[in-house]
Amino acid sequence: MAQSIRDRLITEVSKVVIGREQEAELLLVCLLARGHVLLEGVPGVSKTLLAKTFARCVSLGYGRVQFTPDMLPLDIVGGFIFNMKTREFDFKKGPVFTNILLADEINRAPPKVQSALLEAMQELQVTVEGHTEPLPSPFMIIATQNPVEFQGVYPLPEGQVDRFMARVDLDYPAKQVEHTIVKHNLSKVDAMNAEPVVSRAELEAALEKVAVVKVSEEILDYLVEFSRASRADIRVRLGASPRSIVHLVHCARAYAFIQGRDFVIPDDIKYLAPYVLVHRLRLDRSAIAKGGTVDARAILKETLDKVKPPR
Amino acid sequence: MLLDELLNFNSLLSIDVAIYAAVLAGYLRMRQVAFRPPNPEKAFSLLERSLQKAFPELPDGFTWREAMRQVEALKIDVDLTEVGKALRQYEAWRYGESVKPEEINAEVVRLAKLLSQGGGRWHSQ
Repeated sequence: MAQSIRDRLITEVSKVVIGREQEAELLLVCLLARGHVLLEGVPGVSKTLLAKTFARCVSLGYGRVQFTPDMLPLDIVGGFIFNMKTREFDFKKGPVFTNILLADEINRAPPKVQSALLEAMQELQVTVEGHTEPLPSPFMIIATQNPVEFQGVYPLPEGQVDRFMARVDLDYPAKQVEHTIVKHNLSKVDAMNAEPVVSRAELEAALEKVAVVKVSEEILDYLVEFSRASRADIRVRLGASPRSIVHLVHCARAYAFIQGRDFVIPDDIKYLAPYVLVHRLRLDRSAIAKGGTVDARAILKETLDKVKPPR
Repeated sequence: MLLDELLNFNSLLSIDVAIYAAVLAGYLRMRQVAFRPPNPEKAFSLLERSLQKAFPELPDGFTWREAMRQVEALKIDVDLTEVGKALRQYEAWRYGESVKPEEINAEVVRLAKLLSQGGGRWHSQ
């Protein structure tokens, strides 16, 4: 069943979004791991279309918020509105009350709006004026941001970035893929062209199975060893946090499941580590100034190459 | 008299040949027995050492599958499908609390042996 969920989803997403099979798989991994994803890429690389199509294919509730500089937290989480009939304040749910929320261009909203999502992302609930409302399950935020803009944007603070289970970078497609995209777009392309291919029941069953995927003690030791090594690197100011390692192990379970295994292997960790950790690493500027490696991805790879996995 | 001496010499020679042949056969058999690891754990440990010898550029953090991708590129005379099957069983036991594989896959041992003998030589292929 696991393999078929993955295959069906990727086939369906590929009908609309060309050349984004790996990214679609990563979205599925994060959904099954109950995490949130940050899609990063320059304009025009199908970030929004991918998120919309993915949400449609998994038969879950979907909402979209276009983040802008004049937004208020109320526009996301909702708030109390005075009901003229009952003469009382009723809680009106905001767009966050859905299963998959597309937070488009999240870095365009001011910090107070970004922060409004923190509780939703971490505790899967929203609190407004002492009133706490749980979010539907499963709940996933797919946020997009453009890394090249500097005007009118508010970079996500470390605490917010750490809440995203994974960051998926969308690069420009290869030449042949780009050709296919242009050809495909000669007719109208819309996320509505994709059909729901994974039922909610199937998804819930999959979530239960992911929760029992085995992670051996040795794999846990390997993860801890690796996280400590990432923090010990003098070029790194902020290494892998305990939360990031927890995210990594959940992701690895989900990935193992869609690969048809009921246990995690070191390859799962090594494959997913760049997606889960690179966006959380902060490099030491003084080490960079001395001419060291400036690429967090390269530093992470070096660390992964140093730490011996259980064999 | 001369005939007797010649006969004795011939019989001594044949006895010598028989003794040397037996010693050689015993030595070869001993090497074979010594090379065959007693369980899958040892077989994979042997493979690990052979991989490190054959691919000195492999980092300390290499995984089985990463190393096997390197082996695939060699076009070595080993049934890699069988090795892959044995590896999956080993992984299921090692990481997934599955039943320990009882049989030692001959291809795993053969691959270890070939890599160990070939060392860096395989890179030229």
